[in-house]
Amino acid sequence: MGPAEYTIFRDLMDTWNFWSLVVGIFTFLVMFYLIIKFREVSPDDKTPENLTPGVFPKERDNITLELTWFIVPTILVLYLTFIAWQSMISVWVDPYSEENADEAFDITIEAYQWGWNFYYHDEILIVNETGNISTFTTPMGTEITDGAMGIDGNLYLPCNQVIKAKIVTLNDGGELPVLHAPFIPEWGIKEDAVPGIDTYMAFTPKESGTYELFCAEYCGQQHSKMLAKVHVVGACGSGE
Amino acid sequence: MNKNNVRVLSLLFVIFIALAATPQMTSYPTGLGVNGNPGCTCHSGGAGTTTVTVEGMPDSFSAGESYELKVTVSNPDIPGAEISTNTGGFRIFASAGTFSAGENFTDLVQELEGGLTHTELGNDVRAWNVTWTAPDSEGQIVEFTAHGNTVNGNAVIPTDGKGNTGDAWSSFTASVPGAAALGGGGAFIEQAEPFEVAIAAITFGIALFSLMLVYVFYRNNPDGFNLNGLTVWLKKWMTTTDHKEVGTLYFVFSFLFLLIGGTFAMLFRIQLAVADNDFLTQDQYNTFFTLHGTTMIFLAAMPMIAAFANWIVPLQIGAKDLAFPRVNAMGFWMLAFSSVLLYGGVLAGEGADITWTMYAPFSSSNGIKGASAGTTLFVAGIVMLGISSTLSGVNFIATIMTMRAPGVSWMKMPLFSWSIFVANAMLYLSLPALIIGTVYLFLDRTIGTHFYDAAVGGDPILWAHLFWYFGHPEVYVVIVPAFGVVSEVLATSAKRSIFGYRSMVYAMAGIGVLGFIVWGHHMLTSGMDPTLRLVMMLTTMLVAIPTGVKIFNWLATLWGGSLVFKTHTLWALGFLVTFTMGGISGMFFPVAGLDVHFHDTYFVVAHFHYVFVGGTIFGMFSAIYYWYPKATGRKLDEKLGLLHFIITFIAMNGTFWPMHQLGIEGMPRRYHTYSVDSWTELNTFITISALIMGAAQLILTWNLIRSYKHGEEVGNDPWGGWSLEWTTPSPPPTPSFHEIPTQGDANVHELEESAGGLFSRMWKGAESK
Repeated sequence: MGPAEYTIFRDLMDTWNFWSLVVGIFTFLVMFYLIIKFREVSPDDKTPENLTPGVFPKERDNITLELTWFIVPTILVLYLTFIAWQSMISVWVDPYSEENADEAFDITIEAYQWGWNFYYHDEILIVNETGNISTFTTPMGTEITDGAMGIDGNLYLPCNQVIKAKIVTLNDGGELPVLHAPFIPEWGIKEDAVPGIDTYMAFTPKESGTYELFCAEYCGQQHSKMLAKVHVVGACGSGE
Repeated sequence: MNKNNVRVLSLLFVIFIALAATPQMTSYPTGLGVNGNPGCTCHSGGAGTTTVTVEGMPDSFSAGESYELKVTVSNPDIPGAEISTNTGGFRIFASAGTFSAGENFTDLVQELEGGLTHTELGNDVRAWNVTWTAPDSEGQIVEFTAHGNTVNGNAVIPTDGKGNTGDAWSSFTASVPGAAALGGGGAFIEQAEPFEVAIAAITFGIALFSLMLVYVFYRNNPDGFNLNGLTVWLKKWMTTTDHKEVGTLYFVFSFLFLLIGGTFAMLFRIQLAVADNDFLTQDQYNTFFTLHGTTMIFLAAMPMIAAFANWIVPLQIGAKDLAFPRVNAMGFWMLAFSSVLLYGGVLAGEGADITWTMYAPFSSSNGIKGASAGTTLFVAGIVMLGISSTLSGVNFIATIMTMRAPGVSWMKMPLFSWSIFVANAMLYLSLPALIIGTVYLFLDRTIGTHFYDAAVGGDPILWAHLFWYFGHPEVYVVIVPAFGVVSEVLATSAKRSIFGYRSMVYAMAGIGVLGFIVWGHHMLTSGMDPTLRLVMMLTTMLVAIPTGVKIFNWLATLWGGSLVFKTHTLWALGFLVTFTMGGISGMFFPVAGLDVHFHDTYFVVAHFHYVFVGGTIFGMFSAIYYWYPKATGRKLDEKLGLLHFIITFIAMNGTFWPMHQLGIEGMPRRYHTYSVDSWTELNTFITISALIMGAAQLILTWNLIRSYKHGEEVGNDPWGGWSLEWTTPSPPPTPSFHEIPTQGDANVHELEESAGGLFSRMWKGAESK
């Protein structure tokens, strides 16, 4: 499981794993070298400071060394920040730009205690096994109830199309609508459903299949039962 | 503090408790306050002579099976048959399972908010058949509630506007256990109710603790062993203001709660060991992990830090006591009583289930789908905790700023005292946000304000901002003192002075400042403005820089030293390994493309346990082994210590390392069960490791108790440390110094600074006053 190979998550994860290993291995090598090299050999070992109770010991520092391990991590952090910034644009800015607005497949995810309603505002293009193409029109703003597609409270999505999901909450019998968060590990994406405001998330499925949808924001007793399946049913592989 | 102030404070305290205990009242956006459930109970007249009965209740239920129930409302004073229409109504709901209308009753009964009520037509009868379908899990107890009213047809509306004069209502409640909850049912293995296990463990722990107190009293003075002597002795502990004794109280308190919090963790780890487990019910699971988090942070880690701060800081800076000893004692007792409030709900079977982050609006909701009733007490307990921490925070800041002995200037102060200063300054500046947030929450829950209710203009994200404005500094509040401990321990163990003392202080202060502007990285997916997300991303990344400086300074401290491997050294080295790993995994979160996946998955759980357990707890364990001889005059057993370290270190990595993988695979946190079979293997491994880690703490417990009487006796300075606490006898006398000591200085100063104004005197310490 985990996010698919084509997601931005995988690229970033590779970069971050690489630098984590570099930093971690370097730190631990230095540490083990120092521990072994400078261990106590005999209890009479003397060190330059000769610590005495009640006396502030002779200070030692080395401005060059300290500047080194101030500046080198700073450069690494700035480099990583630059990459992180780019990812922020591709996650939170690009999908909502004007040129993507027409192509996007719009859905609304409505979260309640404890379950999901999915509403569709576009049509899904389906290619079946024999290569026939059929169009399934989803009436705007209403739930799909066509049994032929096995619509069963689960989410059906087309392939190779930007999915733009509006996330809202519904008060279903509880005293207040509460926070939820649709979370689809396959595309490494989630966003809170917040009472009173509309939130959005966007992602692009590129492989057909069935994936899990979880609620990631704690929402009460049946939080762990707030599940759904996501079926990617459209044409895949051939591009648009 | 004079007696009058004490009186005023105790009065406020009583009012506070009384507020916490006021009846729950929910409020609707219309502004109407409604007690209980609208529809049935709105018919005034109280219970009157009306009785509600539900026939057909099973003794226990089987999963998925349907039961036919008959709800009857009767009242001998109001004969229903004589009134043609609108003779009565009912409402039934349960904590689990689903309701539907009984056979031939579909016209008379309708669904309402997860339960059933009558239709308009159904108003004309006094008995309704309904069907209840049991939930899929048998390992739980289902609570049923039925309200019913009888109507006399009198059209006179009373002054309170509720129903008609002479109407009366009543309720029926029942608990039906699942077959598995009964034990021995069907395919389920007979098991003890984990909830009872937890309560029994707490009771047993308190009993054991009381016995231990009596035993310690006996060993202290075998001749004066009588009830009178015991009360005198207890009174001495309950009224003490000596910083060392309050420190001991903090320590015993925190250690007790460390074990209780660990027990909760082990119980819910058993629940998570395999897919679709039903060891705990959902409510128990939610309560247990809520209490685990809150206990570990507020009742274990912070009091443990307070214990060492109390014990060591005055000794290190050469002060006779803290600046405000009575405020210090008050802080401790506020904490002790707040723990009663936090746990009050559990003992009633309605423990808070709102997670340690207490996210509104869930935490401000009542009712079937809302937070459990114990939440109100819990929130009151958090407010009290906040007061307690504020008191102790202001105390340490005042002590360190004004009571340093001659020679202990700011830049000659031991790093542990520095860390306590930075931590308490952060705590003191961030707590107001938490206290305001929790008071709003308390008001939302009790008197029906709408601070977090979006439907009437409240703001759910407000809570997250207030909480994390406190919450992120808070995680540095618990890690920075561990930095201080590790700085002391590594320098002493390597027999060298700390490398780059000044850059250590600046790094710590830098973390303290940065800690206040990074809270938004907890909320990157919360619907916050993307521009703000960007700012928080940048600042969060920056925290890595001072942290890196500290780690490399610690490594450089080892250079040219002669490192001894005492138990406290091992813990400090273990800290370096695990904290570095936790620090690195922290760098994954401020990245948008990673955080939208990792947020609220087990990757987060792995990260913060690496920094809490591998950082704070390892640091505090190091402090226990390091300063135990100072406090008691005897060393802890080094062999048991080694065993404790090795088992805990390995089991800790075994518990939390696999969680990274689970997080990458997308397992959400706070899940009672999971249905993905491929996660079972790692989860089983984690559970076994967690149980081993929990068991290993018994070694430490035994070591602490045994060494108190049988440990190797030590002199003033068993480890070769330099700071002022090592100049006092072990254990130190009361007051800690008869004469204020002067700290020497091995450095040659080229320039003597001239005595200047207030700022310069503050900067240089008491010597120039």
